[in-house]
Amino acid sequence: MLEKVFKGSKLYYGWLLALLVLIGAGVLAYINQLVNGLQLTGMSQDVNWGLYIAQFTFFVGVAASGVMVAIPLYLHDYKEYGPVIIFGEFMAVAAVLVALLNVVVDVGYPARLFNVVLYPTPHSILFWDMVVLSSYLLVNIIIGWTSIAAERKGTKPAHWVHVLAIIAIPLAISIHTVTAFIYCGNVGRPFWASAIVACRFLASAFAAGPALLLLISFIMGKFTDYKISDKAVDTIAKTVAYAILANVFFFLLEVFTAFYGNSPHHTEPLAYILFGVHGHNQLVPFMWAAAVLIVIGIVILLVKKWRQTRGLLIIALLCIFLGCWMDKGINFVLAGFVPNSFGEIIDYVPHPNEIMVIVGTFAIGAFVLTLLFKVALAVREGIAQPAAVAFSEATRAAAENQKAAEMEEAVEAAKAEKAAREAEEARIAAEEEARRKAEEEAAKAAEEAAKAAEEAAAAAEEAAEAPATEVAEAAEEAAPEAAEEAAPAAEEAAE
Amino acid sequence: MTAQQHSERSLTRRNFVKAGAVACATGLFALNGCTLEEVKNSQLASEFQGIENKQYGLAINVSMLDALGGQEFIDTIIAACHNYHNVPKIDDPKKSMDWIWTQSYEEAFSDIASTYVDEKTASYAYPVMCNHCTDPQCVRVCPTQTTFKRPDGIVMMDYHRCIGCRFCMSACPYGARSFNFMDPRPYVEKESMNPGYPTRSKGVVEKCTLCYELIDQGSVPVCVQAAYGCITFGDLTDENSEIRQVLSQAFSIRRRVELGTGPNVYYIFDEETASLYANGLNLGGAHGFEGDLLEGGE
Repeated sequence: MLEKVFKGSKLYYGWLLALLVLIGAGVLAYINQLVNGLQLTGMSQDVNWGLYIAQFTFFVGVAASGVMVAIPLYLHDYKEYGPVIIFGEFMAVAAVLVALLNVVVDVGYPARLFNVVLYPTPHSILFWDMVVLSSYLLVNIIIGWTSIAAERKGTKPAHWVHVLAIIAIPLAISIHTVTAFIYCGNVGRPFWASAIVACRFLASAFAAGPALLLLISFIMGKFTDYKISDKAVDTIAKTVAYAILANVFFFLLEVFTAFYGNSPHHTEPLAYILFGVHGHNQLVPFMWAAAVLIVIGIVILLVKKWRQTRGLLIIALLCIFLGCWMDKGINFVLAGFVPNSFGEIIDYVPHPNEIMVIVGTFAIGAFVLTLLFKVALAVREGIAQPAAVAFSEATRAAAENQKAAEMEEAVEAAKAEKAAREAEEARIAAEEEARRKAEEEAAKAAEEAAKAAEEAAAAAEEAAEAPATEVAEAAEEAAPEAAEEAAPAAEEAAE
Repeated sequence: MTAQQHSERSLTRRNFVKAGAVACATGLFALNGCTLEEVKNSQLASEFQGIENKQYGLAINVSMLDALGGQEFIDTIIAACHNYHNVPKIDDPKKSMDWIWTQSYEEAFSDIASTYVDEKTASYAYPVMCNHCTDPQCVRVCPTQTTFKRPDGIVMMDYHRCIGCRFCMSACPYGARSFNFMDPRPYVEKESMNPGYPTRSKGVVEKCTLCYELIDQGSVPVCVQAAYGCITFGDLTDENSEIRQVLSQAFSIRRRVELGTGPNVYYIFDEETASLYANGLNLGGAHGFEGDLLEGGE
């Protein structure tokens, strides 16, 4: 199946080439970082995690959102998602890849990364993150690949693939929960140390992820034969609407808890992103841009007519995706370090080199996504085309056969009808003949009987002079006897 | 020979996969056995004799430090520590490496600092460093057990295992950890370099290790030696230890106690002793740490 990635249009190759250029630039930037260290980032001793870890967090969410398609399909048998699920799974693969790459580029000593496996440490959340992320990546690759392979053969995936798909559902929830635990276990960082972080992460993920899936589907629909059903689009859009509303709700819970309680530890990070603190307001534009974008998105998604207008839907999805990204892919991580251990606020100024590295990781994700989607689409087209030809031929042949058969049948039917009619006529004629004969015979017999009766009557008259009664009796006896004898004869004749 | 007989005799794909899985599992098990044999940091630590069930800590008499020169005097302690441990001197405050440094009262004790605090308390310089917590957050979050707690309470770093994920920095409520954003070696000044102590590489986290190597030799940490009695070192679980005696006689506070990490660096306020000490000793200006620690202390 992999060979399908080599066959594509000029546009396809151009897109891949552009991505390769970006990947190359990203790799060069990363080599620069490897040589010079993480000083080529905006990170500092006080803000020790930056955009890398923020991208990691955001894309773990995108990966987890695959379940928003998987749950309706696998648990509720919602068939509209049947053709969509493969893209959800492949998008999860690419998203996990981007997330993992952003961890790899973030660590200071990547050559020692394998130490996480060599010295497994269950009390570290990062260890569990490695476990669930690698499991989720593997499971999605296996499910996606076997499903599309089965589709190519025109069969259903094996039963264990279905079992794996169901295992992937809690796994998806777990990857983002564990990612949230990385943050909310830090008692010294009040902005992170909140029980609702995992919920908020999942909600924003289930908004941003399906939004991205729909946007990619529309792009694919423009350049390929891929078509996603309107019903599926609308259901996914509804999912995005519910999820983003939950996310906003959870955020407002944080705002209430912080500002009503008014503990400075809680209010300061929020005030930092909402209004700025002591002149430090670099994250404020992102916060309010995210707020405006998300509100626009919500309004469009809530009005059915607008949601079902493709142009407006695209705007809404873009707004929500970007809004969630600003919220989680920038602000959440950076605001967690405000204030630092000493009540100071240290700003984060991104370095161009780290932005190039991040663009490189995005490009790798997009590259892998393109190849995977290409395989899936090509397999579907490959099935669709020969099958269509075969189908039309078969139908034509079948139609011809049917026509011939019908004609033959008609002829037969006509013949049979004729034969039946003839037989009927013959039967009627035979019956009439028989009736006529019987009538004749009956008439003859009656005549004979009448004659006999007359003779008997004459004999009776002759005998009347002598013993009249005896003769009369004899005559009476003879007449019915003769009649009786004549009757069976008449009946026989009639039959 | 029928097809069925054939498949029974030869290696089918299914059997091949099965056999492969078994072989892999066996191999992994065997490998696992190898890693189990490896010496772990905790095992290594417990091999040190006579250091079990302790909790080393420091008691810093900030009043005395102030009496001896305040920031200026503390700078000599910082220099002693940083020079001994080859801590690079990086000017950019965002990337600077510090094992021990000073903060103001309001900064170091932001959670308990009063608005109307007496001038002296507010004006002191407070040396801050790793608190060698009883229940350290950094040890809990480290994915490779690079940072671990020795049985004597010291929170240690293994610079050869650290992957540089900086999770420990996010978890530490005291800002005690520094990350090598660049190669530290060019930033270690040649004239003050200590050839007896290793330098670190770029991409790893480092911090105060309470001079475990000196403690293991029966000596005390560099900062304690350089502080002329302003900093007391000892086992906090031993009620007869010097540090417990010092703590029992003066008012002391710790940083961010409410987080439950159990910090073991105490800040003592003791004006009386401070003035006696300052008058009784003619230090004649700032004194740096000059002893030859490479010999191994006492």
